[in-house]
Amino acid sequence: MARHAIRLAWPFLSLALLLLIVAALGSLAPTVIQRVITEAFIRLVMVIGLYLFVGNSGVLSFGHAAFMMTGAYGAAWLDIPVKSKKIFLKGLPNFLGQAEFPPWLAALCAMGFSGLIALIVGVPLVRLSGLAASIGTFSVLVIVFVVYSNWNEVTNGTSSLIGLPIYVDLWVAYGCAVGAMLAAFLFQNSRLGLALRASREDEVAAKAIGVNVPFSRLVAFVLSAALVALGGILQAHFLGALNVLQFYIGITFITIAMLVVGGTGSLAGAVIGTGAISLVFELLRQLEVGFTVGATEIQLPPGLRELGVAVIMIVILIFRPAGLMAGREIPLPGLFNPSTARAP
Amino acid sequence: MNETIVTGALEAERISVRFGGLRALEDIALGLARGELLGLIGPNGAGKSTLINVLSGFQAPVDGTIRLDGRSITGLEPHQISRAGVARTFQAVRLFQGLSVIENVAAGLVLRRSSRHAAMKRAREILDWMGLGPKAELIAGTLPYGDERRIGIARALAAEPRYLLLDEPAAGSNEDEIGALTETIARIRTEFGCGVLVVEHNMGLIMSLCERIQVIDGGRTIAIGTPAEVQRDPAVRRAYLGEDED
Repeated sequence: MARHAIRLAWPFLSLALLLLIVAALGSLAPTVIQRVITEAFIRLVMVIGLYLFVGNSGVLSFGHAAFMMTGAYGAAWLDIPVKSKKIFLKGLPNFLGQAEFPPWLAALCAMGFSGLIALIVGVPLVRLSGLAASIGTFSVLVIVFVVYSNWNEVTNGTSSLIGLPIYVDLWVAYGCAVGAMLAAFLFQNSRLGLALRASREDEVAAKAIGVNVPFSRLVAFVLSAALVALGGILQAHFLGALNVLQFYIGITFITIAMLVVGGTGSLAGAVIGTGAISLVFELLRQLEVGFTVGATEIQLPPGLRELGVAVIMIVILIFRPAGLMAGREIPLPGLFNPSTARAP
Repeated sequence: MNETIVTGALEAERISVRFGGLRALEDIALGLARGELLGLIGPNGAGKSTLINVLSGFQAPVDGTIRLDGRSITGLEPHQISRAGVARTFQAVRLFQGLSVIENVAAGLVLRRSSRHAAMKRAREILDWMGLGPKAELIAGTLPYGDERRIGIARALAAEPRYLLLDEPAAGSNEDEIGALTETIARIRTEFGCGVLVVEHNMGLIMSLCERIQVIDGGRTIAIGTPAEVQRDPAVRRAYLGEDED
């Protein structure tokens, strides 16, 4: 029985274990490296949120950064100290301006708020398919960005919002990443998840067996928005500062690159892709900062990171279009099952 | 014509479909009783697939009504018609290529069972029944064409239909496969108790399987009757059998 349970949950357990090892090693490493790993875990929350929708529905979204924005600002409205709110956020309604929520409650409320926004914009969006759907999601991002950039009274506009309680460390980020993976794993194995994956493979045939495609997509879209919002919230409460530019084209590109490089078809793809790109990103950042070989100091030009990631994405798209994991989960060791495990 | 139906039927009346100026279906009627095997034949472009699309909700008719056991289902979405009890296969099969065989079948069942576990159990039964049991865990897109067609039928059966519409189930199959398929379709009717509509170009399959055949041409019904009656019908010979040696 226990073996059976382990076999069923293995795609999730294996990844949780893998991250635990990374986190444990990280906790022994210097602070700089700890911060890099923490940031990677935060990205992972975002990528898994994106995966929950993109991976299961097959509809690529360029708009999920909008929900990082609504999440991060939503949480900030609730948990920034009242003193700071009086300076930066004069336009907040009284019940928000006078209140100071505990960070966990602020995070939950902001995730719910982002889910609600996703529900509203999702109703028309999920009726679109293919490129039209992707462009639709992108326009949501542009709208949210423009609104948050200009609504100075509640967002401080394009200036940074500071004074957020900093509570995110390596272990908080690890816990949230595991929680996000669990949510995505449960969803992809749920009845609705299977119906949605069927529609990803063939929308017409899915309708013919009774799948309500728009409804299934909408549920995934809302859940995915809430998870991605958690990613935004974590980032804001890791840095302690918030700026609208954090949640625009840059993060959209990097999270999509992570998902595509790992493979949109499996949870393991999301995790491996995030790990691989985070690693490359960090190495290239070191090169940009500069290093010395013997007596020569080598410093590569800034912008190398984005360029490097773009090249990697192109190479993957050409030579391994289904991503590093190609839709598979981590195989079960022979101890539990002699045959090879596959994507659920 | 089958006017008095006791056990229930899928009925289409006065159905018309136009694509731009082209009249794909013109005032056509079709009745499929529970437990009946009805063949639908006609030359290419006669409107057979269009009629299946109408019956399964993928094509809205400009005029006409469709009734399922007396209740109108005209204008419902495909997924609603599927849940009401009309399942179909596709000429192009359209499997969920990236999913396993059993997931292909279970995807429809999860919507009709209270748990995923119960759905998987039933999916396995259907696959065993179709002789696909040993391939349950394989990825659908990796299987040969003949298997694909049978998975397509298993998937339609998983929708627990009272009426099953098969769109060219024998296309691209060899003689052995067609023999096995004929037997399977006959058993579907008796063991699942559903009405089966078969659109097919293979005359051997249609003539040996169906007790009633409806022949359409140019979007209209030109003959309806037993295989023997249809084969004798001059209009059919003119429009169809004379031109197509199948």
